[in-house]
Amino acid sequence: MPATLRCSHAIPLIAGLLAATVAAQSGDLSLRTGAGAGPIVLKGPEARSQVIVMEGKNRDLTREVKFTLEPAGIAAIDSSGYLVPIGEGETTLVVTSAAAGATPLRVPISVIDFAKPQPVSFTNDVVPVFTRNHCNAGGCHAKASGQNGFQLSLLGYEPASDYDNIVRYSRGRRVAPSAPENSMLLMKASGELPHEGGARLKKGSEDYRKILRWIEGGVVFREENEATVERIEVFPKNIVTTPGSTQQLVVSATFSDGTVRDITRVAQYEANQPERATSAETGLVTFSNRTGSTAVLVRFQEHIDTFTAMIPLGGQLTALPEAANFIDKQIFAQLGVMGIPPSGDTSDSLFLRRVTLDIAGRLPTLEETAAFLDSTEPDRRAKKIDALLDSTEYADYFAGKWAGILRNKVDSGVDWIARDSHAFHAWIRSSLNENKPYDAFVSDLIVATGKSIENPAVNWYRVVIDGKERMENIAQVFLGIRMQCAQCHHHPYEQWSQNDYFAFTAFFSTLEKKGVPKLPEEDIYFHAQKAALVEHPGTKEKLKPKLLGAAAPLEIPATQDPRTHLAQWMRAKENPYFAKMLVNRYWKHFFSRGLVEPEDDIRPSNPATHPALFEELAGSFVASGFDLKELIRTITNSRTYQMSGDPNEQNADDEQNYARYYPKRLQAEVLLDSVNDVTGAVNAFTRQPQAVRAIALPNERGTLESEFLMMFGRPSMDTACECERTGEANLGQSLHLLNSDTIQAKLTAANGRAATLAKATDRSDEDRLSELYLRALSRGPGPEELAIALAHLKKKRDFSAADPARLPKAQAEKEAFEDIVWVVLNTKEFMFNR
Amino acid sequence: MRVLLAAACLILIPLPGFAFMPNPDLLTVAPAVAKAGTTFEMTTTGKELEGAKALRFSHPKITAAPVLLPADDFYPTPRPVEGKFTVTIPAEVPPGVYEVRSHGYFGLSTARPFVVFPSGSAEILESGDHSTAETALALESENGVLGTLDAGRFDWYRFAGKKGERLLLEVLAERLDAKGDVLMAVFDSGGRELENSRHHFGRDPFIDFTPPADGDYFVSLSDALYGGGREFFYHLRLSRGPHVDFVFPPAGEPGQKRAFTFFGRNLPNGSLGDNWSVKGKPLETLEVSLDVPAEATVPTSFSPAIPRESMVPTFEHTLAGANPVSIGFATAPVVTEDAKSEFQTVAVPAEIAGRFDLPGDVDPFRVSLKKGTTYWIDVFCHRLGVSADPVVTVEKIAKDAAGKESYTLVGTNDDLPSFYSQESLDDLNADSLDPALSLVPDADADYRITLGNQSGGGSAAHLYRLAIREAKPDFQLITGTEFAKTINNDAFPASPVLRRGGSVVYRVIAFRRDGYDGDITVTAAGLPAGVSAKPLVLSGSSSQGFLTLWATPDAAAWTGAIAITGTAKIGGKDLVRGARPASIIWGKRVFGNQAQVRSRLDLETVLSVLDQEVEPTRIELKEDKVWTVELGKSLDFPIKLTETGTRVGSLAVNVHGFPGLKRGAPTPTLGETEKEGILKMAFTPGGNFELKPGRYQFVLRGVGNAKYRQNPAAAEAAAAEVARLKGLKAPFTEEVAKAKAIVVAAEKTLAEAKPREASTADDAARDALKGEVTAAQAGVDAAKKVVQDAEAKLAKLATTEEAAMKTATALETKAKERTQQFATYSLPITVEVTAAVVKK
Repeated sequence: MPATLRCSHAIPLIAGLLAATVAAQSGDLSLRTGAGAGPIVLKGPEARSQVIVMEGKNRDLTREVKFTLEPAGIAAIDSSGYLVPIGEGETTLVVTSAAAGATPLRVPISVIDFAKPQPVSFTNDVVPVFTRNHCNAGGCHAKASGQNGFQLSLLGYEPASDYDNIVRYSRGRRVAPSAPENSMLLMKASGELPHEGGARLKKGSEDYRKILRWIEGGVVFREENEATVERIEVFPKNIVTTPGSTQQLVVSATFSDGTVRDITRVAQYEANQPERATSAETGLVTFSNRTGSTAVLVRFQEHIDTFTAMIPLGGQLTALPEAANFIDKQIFAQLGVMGIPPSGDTSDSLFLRRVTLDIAGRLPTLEETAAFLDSTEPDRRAKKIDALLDSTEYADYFAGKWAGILRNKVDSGVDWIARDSHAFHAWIRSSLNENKPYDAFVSDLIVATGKSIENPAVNWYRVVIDGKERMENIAQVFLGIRMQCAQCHHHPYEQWSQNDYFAFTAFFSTLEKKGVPKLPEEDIYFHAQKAALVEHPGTKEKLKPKLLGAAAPLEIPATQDPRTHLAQWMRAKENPYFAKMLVNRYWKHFFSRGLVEPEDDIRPSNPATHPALFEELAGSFVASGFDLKELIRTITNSRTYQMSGDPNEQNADDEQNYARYYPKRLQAEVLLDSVNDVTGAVNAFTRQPQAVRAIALPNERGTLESEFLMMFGRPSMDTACECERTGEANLGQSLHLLNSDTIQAKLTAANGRAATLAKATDRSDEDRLSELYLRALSRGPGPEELAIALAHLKKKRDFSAADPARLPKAQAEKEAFEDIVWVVLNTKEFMFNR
Repeated sequence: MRVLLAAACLILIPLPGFAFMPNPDLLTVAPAVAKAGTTFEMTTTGKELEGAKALRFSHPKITAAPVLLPADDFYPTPRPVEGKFTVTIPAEVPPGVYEVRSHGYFGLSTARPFVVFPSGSAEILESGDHSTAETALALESENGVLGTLDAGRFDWYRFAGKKGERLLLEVLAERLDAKGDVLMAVFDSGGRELENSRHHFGRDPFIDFTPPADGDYFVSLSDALYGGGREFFYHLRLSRGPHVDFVFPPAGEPGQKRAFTFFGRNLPNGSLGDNWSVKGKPLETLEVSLDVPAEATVPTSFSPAIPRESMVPTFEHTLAGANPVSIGFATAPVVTEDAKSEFQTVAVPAEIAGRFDLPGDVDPFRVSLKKGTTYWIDVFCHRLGVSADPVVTVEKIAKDAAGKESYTLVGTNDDLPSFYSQESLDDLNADSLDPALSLVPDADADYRITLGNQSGGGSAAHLYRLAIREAKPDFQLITGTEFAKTINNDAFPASPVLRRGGSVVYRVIAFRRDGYDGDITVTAAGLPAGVSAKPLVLSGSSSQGFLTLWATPDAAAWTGAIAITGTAKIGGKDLVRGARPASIIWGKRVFGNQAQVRSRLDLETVLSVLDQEVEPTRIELKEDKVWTVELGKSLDFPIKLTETGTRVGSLAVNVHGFPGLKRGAPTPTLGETEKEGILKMAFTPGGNFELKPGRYQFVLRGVGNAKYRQNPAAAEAAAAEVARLKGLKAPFTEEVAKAKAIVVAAEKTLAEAKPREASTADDAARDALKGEVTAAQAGVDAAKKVVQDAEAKLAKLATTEEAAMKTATALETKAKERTQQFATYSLPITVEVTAAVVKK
């Protein structure tokens, strides 16, 4: 597409979004509490409610309005909107806004059972006190060994165990129902008895009284018919706000008896980007002056919900490029909301270099560059993308990526393991080459059985040996769920319990290995025909396989491999994790950052920067039949991908809205191959064909053999996380490119590029320099670059002419070109995909 | 790539890392394939092949004669080139895979496969560097090419493909004992990979390729680890001809005529109507009616498969132009699986021909069984070459009052017990993944017999035979020879070599069918004079043992095939079964428990008796009798050694091949001068000794060191040759001197004649003198030529002598006395272990 910005049909969409904000400014007030938007009922003397007042959808006026209660004496409210009962009866909350023309809001309030304190629930009232006061934090009583003999479950996820620890263990000395105030639990917590953690609860405070009343009530674990929390919900869910503003949140809990209660002041809040927003225990979120998207995790018991906010830059967008597909529509819409003007379209030469590096893992050849730059076909970019996807190099490059994720290690490297590892890599590569649907690829891997030489997919089980690790890797790699925490305790940021962890592990519990005497490469991985069960280490319960999020475990006959059920569930179109994980991984490949970061940690508490795009991209991937090439086609054909990497005045700081292309350092293998392509050198690796390209290396051996690959962060394949690959640029790398023996040998090789160019005396200097620049940067040298290079050639030639004995002419030519190649290799332009 | 036959002939193989007596191991023959009706040069490489003057082929009509260098000035008679033979395959030798062995100083070597193609086959030669697509060698349809992979490189071929035609590319490599794990890929002319394959037939690749358009296509071959060298040879064929994948049912009842469906590609009149496919490629079917022979015969063609697979009795059938396929002998009436039935009822006895259609397929069958009858459920699947790990379960079916069925597990089997154990020092892979179990119903009832595949694969080609029938006891034997080893994981191919006064053992493994637990008496026949064996009796307690051959101190040199057979009395009749020889394919010295040892069957059981070497020690018990001991008691076995006096240091004696005896077996050591000793053995069952009353046989194995000189005769002959060549120097020098003298004389004559001619005025006389000068000049020239020739001969003699000296030095080094490890074996020793007497 021509590299110009156009006013387009995206503008009305932006205008629409802005219009919503304008309407809200007209004084459209709304009020609600954690228990909802209707009349407020406060039951019992300890009932509490947080009130928020919103103007429109995005502006919090809670701290700006005036609250009055008519009549007084029934309830009291402070300036933060915190409402408490003070007597039985009815009253009305009147909210007046300073905003001109706003009609006061009137909300009825009833206080009932004021004289009748409600029973204190251990789970719903007492345990949250521990959580709120950090008694059950990982560094305190929830450490694996507890603290000074007293142990609580992490963040109170196991109330039953907490109850036992308080009431039953240590001979029950922690609570004294006969003299509740003398209970060690309270005396320690309030600092009346020495407590390493200090005085956490002020004597007489609300939290103190809650525990006291629970002890007075006879330390009951659970009242008969006691309701349990089924879900929590934060309000508002998402807003578009301004830098430096605040937002009061309210949180409701829906109980099993159908009641909804305000838990705003007992829930916990955690901001995911403290540099953009901080959260207080009261549920008040304070935004910094940084723009961008941010989120706050809200947690109560094992339930979580998330509040997200966009803090726009507020720039003036006069025009947006025409959207090429739904990606652009979503990205541009958000840019509109955020007020960040995007950079323009990238040049053909940069596009060619970018897309070739991203899809085929190499620089474009001279011929490809010439053909592409000469082309006037309007769809040349789309055609180039198709050609690259159709090349075997695409399979080579992405097979390397997947070999790392799937940990294709050889470790000791004996022949038979190397053979298995090569076969696994070849299997991945063939799957990509034939564009096997991703769901089939994953399913084949998960249900793999047999001999590695016949079904190389079983190699994954050769490398990942432990059942728990298998489960964790599968969850992380293919579902974006990190289950690791849940092995020891309920996941702190997730819904997953220990029970979920081990029941999910049970899918791998029947997989066994049968050794073939004296022929380990023929070992057979098989489903032993037995019931799939894994023991919960705490409860000792034998858990059957249970799918994540499922209500009940599966009943799988011994004849069936439980992994087939797992694979079926994973690849089902409606699986909420599977497609998202992959599209996020691939999005990151092309854009340097995931829609969710890290790309394999997708959870409600870590929301996407573009939730709607995330959904749509995943949906389109599913609809395409899990077609990986089609996904890449969709991404790379977008204007967003084809945007220039040069920032404009307003988008230089943007890190999450894709207002410009984010340049990235070439991956270790790609960089090595590119250095070779420019210098005319080739690789030599053991158990590999001569001149193998680094992107085609199958396992971690190449990294161990190459200082270059190690230096530039090729993964050693120890984990399933792509974060093992480092994309950072550091001093060591610069020094390596500047003055290592490796690079020197490549530069000065007798048949290298510099030598060849130097010998081609029938060509003009300009022509030869142009070739070098085209090879390295897919563009010819600029006038200044050309002048400098020509001057350098002249300098060397003059030196030789003056003293041919010291520097013979041929040597001078070769050295001059070596110097110029060296300079080109050391430019950021070469090292980065931009 | 290039077949550099001429250059690759005489590579010195270093002495093997193990320090046992030399044993000839043939590593490669090149070419390993040839056409019938041709004569060609074959190069052999291997270990301890010295002095090979002949090759032995398993087809007697294939002959080989050493390549001879013609007689010359220094060698009055033609002399052989070591490792090179002129091989002739008469046109009448049928195509197939045969065995070849080298026959040298140490007798017959191990065997390597050798393929004979029909005389009309279109074999082409690999030539030049074709390691890139640009330099690819052209293949035509039906071309076969024998090539060799180079380390780190690919071999490229190209061919013209027509849209829609079905092309088959098949590589033979592992199946010919080549070391390569070959990867094959097909590319279009744009460099895009369209197909790839490895491990289709074992490790060998196969590609069924239908070009998407007319054009040039490319094939690349490489080793999976990019290894190369002469051991990485392969044969590639591009064919449009028929290929049979498998036959269904996989077995027919002996002596009956029945219809078999051939599944394959490019089958003449084959049908695609049934929509079968394997690995995404459609399979054609063709129904053929065949007579199943009444009796199984021992196959005469080489089988590259694992031993257990090769032991399944089959007969072969070849569709015109296609590859031969094996069809089994059903052990009960054949019933085919009804793929549509979820729970098929089958009348027993039956042999169900079925398949695991899909991964995870589980096939249940309902049978009615009779109380008190011993049934055997025997599965053939892995042994059919199918990549599967079947498991069988048997459940008894009961019905409640409402007619609802319930199932009670009464038996299950995954695999039969392994023949392998760390202690048995066994390297032959005699195991299979096929299950079998017996069942004696406690009542007349219906049973559910379920067959599943644990290793997951499933396709049209995942065939099985599930036999449900009464017991038909039978047995089969395989034998193997092996090196005595220093490390348990080491495994080296070995050829049975018997030195004078020495011993050699054949490991005998018995596959007992349907739980046959009677005696199997193993004997050797066809032994030459001076060689004896004592029958090995494998009692019901054992399925493995050692048959020892002993040579007398004056045994004559001999090589040839012998026959080892087992005899068992089954059903009142003597059942005689020939043992089939097996061997390890490649030797491996391994540290750590990661040996990779592959084994397969050979065609011939051979023996070599050497008359030029003597074994240092013979070990035996003082008394030859059946020893009796009560369980829990000990027994002293007095040992006697007969020695030549060359032994150095002590002899470690151990019990070899005692079933159930694990670590901790007694190992008496006899000092250098000791000729007698005691083996004290406690017959107490325990952690390392699984022992029950019964009759057992074992051998004593003594391992020691002895003074040894390797082939001193060759060293002497070589030294004599050097001396002879040195002796030739004087006459040749004299010849040079003589010739030089003649030159001097001739020059003198010339010098005299010239002035005379010049000073003569008389025309006639001048003419005469002119003739004289010319003649004198000719004399000088001739004499100079003689000098030149003689000097050239002398120079050639010097290089010949140098080469001879090099050879002589090498042989002398080998022949120098050194200490060499040896192993010696006793004849089988029989022990009757009786039950412990219960004291009252």
